[in-house]
Amino acid sequence: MKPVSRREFLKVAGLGAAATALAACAPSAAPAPNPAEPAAGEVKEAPAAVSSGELEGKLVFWGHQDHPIYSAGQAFMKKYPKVVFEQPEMAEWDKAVESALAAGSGLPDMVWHEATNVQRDARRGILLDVTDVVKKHEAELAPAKLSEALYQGKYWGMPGDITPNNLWWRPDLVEKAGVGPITEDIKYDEFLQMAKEVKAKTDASLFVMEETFDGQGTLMFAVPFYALGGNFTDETGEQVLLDNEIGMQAMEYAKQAWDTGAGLNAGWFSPPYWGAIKENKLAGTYSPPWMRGFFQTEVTTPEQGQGKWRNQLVPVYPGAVARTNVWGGATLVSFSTNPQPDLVKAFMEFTFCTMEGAQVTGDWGIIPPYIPWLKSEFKNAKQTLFEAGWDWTGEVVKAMNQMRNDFYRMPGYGIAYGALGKFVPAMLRGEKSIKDGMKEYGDYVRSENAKLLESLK
Amino acid sequence: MAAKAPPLPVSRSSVGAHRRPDARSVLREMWKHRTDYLFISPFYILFAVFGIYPLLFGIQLSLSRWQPGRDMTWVGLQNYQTLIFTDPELGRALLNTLAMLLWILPTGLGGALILAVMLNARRLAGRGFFRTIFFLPFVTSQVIVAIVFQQLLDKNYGWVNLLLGKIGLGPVPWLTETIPAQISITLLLHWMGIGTNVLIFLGALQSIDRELYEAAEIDGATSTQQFFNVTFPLIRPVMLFMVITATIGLINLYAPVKLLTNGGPEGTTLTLFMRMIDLMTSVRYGEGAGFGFIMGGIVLLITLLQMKFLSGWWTVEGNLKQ
Repeated sequence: MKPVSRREFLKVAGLGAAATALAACAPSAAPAPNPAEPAAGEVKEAPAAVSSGELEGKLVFWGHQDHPIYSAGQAFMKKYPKVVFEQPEMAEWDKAVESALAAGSGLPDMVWHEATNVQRDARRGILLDVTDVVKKHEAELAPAKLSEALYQGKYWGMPGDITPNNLWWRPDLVEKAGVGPITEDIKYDEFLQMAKEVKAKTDASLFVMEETFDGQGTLMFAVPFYALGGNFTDETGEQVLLDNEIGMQAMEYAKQAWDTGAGLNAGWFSPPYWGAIKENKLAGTYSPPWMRGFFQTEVTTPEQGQGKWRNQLVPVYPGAVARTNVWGGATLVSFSTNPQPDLVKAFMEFTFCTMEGAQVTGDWGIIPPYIPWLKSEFKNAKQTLFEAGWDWTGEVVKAMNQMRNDFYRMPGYGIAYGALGKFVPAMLRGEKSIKDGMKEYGDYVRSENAKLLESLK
Repeated sequence: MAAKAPPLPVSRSSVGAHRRPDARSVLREMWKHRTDYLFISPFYILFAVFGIYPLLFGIQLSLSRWQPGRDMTWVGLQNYQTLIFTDPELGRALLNTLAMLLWILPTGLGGALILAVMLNARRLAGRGFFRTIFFLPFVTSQVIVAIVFQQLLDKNYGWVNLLLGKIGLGPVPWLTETIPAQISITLLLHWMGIGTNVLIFLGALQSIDRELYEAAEIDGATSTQQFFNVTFPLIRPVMLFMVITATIGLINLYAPVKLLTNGGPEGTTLTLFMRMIDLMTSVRYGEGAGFGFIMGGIVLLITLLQMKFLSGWWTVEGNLKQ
């Protein structure tokens, strides 16, 4: 064999490295065009009823780890053995979606999208229209959740996680203060009075109110805002409404809570927040059902309050049309360029429109919006946080029945919610009147919303 | 293949004496040295893909309206106009960033210089130990550091206020009121940055010829006089380098502030970089790209001003003349 000189070896190696680099830079091979692939906005035919074993293919889902959709994926694979469900480990999947969209390849089949982003991305024309499959089950899905996936008369995702807020509270701590119990028809001013007494006598708070007005504290504004019939924007998302009479009244209620000085002033999910809960310094809070999963992970002994909580409708605000609000909650979406929309829709249908799928996701801890499951199996959902014998699922259903169908989570909702911390603290401290502060807040959101909508065109 | 000698440098006079080489001869020359070019090509390919292309794409993006998956719509300077005249956060973020620059830069560099001088002292015991201690923050994750600071400085449950409470002070709203929040950020940045700054100053101090100090001592100079007349003039080039790099670093400040105060309270610690990220994550890509170039312009302007006013600091000769 002819010996290879060092120069020759380096030359070949250099050529190889350069060729590899060039190959890496070349655009990836375009996926073969799928004749079934719809154009953006085109409505697909309703999937034909599928019998076990007919479906096959691979589904890739992006979402946070330890996900209810992962559990649904396992159940789906069991039912359809020729289907492979994968959820790669990834952190910021929303940013990865943007990168894949820009690259024109690499999108997953489905992602777990926040309600605000559903409406935003429907405007961008990037989501798969799933009107056919949702329409088929419209009567079986919670109406308030349906509206979150609706844009211009079409459904752009399968409604996922229903999130009505309740008041969660600890009877043992309230009674220790010599007040209570908190009755179902308690009025807001009575609740604040009780909060003051509980704080004075036990040093425990009956609500959360961080001075930076972030996290769970925002509910002291968001709950009355929703309850009074408020909306951050109108149905089209064009007009910002948060600084109207309802917004100012809701802010007045938030300020009343602040003025009691009885709220828990700790960053949401921060160590001091969990510390306060475990040391029995939090006697109550407004909270959506999905918080139960997080509480159960942290509150693990009776000394920390395990099995000592109750939930019920939020206090009555004068002039309210509802006794809850929505916070968080996501929707299962796919993309208009997805090459296998029938398989995706079949998965969505299985996950949130059948007893089997609802049971799996419900067991994980979210509240799927499938009414037949909510009416039957939901009551058997496992939990360790609430008092044994307390009909906590009944209270969630009561709150669900209070949800409004005219509350819109357009892109402006996200801007407005994200800016609460910038504008509200000055109003709470009285450095700005509520009228001036809300006007400033509204003008900011109006300006940012207009620019966002312009950029989405 | 026989080894080829690299082309000899061409002197200015020889360029004038010959015809400018045409494209064919340049290509022929390149082909002749193709092996050499091949070996240096990976850098240029990577630089073109990850440096030049994003820059050009960014410029195009800043002059367009675009959403991923769609064609770009040319809007000219509209994004810049929107940002400069109507963005509610640009002015605030710029003022916050400049204010931080004004107090963090002198205190940070001054503090690091003092520590470096102390560590440079011949008689200091445990110099190696202290150098390691000062450098440790640099190798610690910014995220971890910010989270630890957040817990230490929590108004109601933080250790700092707990200790202040023991001596009858506080509680200080370290993260929730403007001035204390800015002080907290300053402390965090100093803690994180002091290690590298000390290390660079130490290198500069150790490169000074001992004979200069001996000569100064013979002339009867005190330690203070030696510092101001020997040490300081000789480390000015390093100081200038650090002023410029620290300025660029502070204008691009993001992670520590994001984690510690998230721009609060009420936007008083919002930085330019945070605003740019806000725009990008709210899918306003054209404005986000434009914001990036505005930031680049600000960095360039400040750096040019620094170089103009501190031009005498560049060379040791220049410093010794002063």
